[in-house]
Amino acid sequence: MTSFWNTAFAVAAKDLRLEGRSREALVPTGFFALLLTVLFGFAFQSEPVDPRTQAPGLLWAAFSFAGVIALQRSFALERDGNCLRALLLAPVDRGALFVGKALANFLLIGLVEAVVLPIFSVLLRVPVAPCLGPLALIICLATLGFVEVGTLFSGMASGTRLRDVLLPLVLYPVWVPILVAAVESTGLVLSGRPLSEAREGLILLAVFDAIFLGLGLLFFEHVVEE
Amino acid sequence: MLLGLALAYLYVPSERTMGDVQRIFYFHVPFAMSAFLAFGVVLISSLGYLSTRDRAWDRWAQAGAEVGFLCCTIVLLTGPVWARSAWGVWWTWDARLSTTLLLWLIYAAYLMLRSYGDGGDRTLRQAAVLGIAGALNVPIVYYSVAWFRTQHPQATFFTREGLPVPEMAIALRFCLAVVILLVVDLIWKRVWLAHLEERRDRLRLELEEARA
Repeated sequence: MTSFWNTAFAVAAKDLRLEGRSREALVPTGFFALLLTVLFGFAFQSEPVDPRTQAPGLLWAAFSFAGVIALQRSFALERDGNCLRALLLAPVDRGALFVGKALANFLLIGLVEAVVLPIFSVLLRVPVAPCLGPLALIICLATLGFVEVGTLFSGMASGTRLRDVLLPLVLYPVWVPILVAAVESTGLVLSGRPLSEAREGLILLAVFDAIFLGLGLLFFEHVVEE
Repeated sequence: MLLGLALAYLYVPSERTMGDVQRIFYFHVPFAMSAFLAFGVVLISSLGYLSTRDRAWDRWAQAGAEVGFLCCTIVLLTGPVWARSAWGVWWTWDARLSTTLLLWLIYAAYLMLRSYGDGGDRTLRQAAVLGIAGALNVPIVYYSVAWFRTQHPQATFFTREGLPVPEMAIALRFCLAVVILLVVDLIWKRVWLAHLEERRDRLRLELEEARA
């Protein structure tokens, strides 16, 4: 078990170190999320968006679109110079590789979300500060689900000719259940309800995270191995 | 087969409050069930392919996905026509409808993944993983949507025991049998076609080697 986590952390640390030096995922992803927020701002001109019905949808649309860019970067790195093959040559558990890649993606996307959220709040005039704690919990759980599905499928899409186009096409339909739960609980929290009212959504999120983690651990080797 | 379908469709059922539009039901339900059947084939053969790596399993998965996608398309086209007159809207984001739409999207993605891959073992394994994930996703999507969105009373429309006129039950059973036969036949023919294609490619390769 320790070797499993050692491998996972080594893979995650490798990805994060690469990102720290190149910033090829962080900057474009963050900028893209920012652009989306600005676009939404123009699309809903001058009217403040409704925190119960509109804000959660816009927030999660921005996160879903931007997250895909980070995911694409994650496997583009491995494809260049056949790094993925080298990684697979290592005699380690494929599940650990999956967890490592997912962990790095989680931290990257989480960082982008942490930066974009206050900007979103200011530009679209959605008060976020009073419910920051519960909101952070929801975002963490939903992002976890996103990177689990996303890491599995970006490994899959990277082997095809149309990889960059294909990833969102296979990812979004499978990601819908998490999105539904995330949007619903975000709406409750943003409109000032206590976290206990969003409990069902949180439980669902946790259950989906567990299911997709299982899927990733089981099937990642089939997706990446040649 | 199709003639029988048309006969049952035009003759047997009597009118109901919903009028003629209700007749769509005799196509809609059988195709919905066949879609589930076909995607069940994808799930089982994908698992089979991952554990044995035998291409025969993959041919079944491909056939199931293509035919299931076709059935799902028919369901999604006939459904709104009926909903327009029964519910007054073409579409609602109800659990059953959303699940069917997502199922359609997932298997559209599945077919794209197959056609944009290189056709090697890796593509087939990836497709199998998506086939399994997609099928497992169905109950998940259903419950997540049902949990949050208001449930429509549509389950009552779909209980076959509750059909008021016996002719309706007969027509529905007949259509169900015919459509499922049609779908099974389509899947089987698709598998056979894939098998022949593979043999043709192999023979052509052998021929070229013999010439060279």
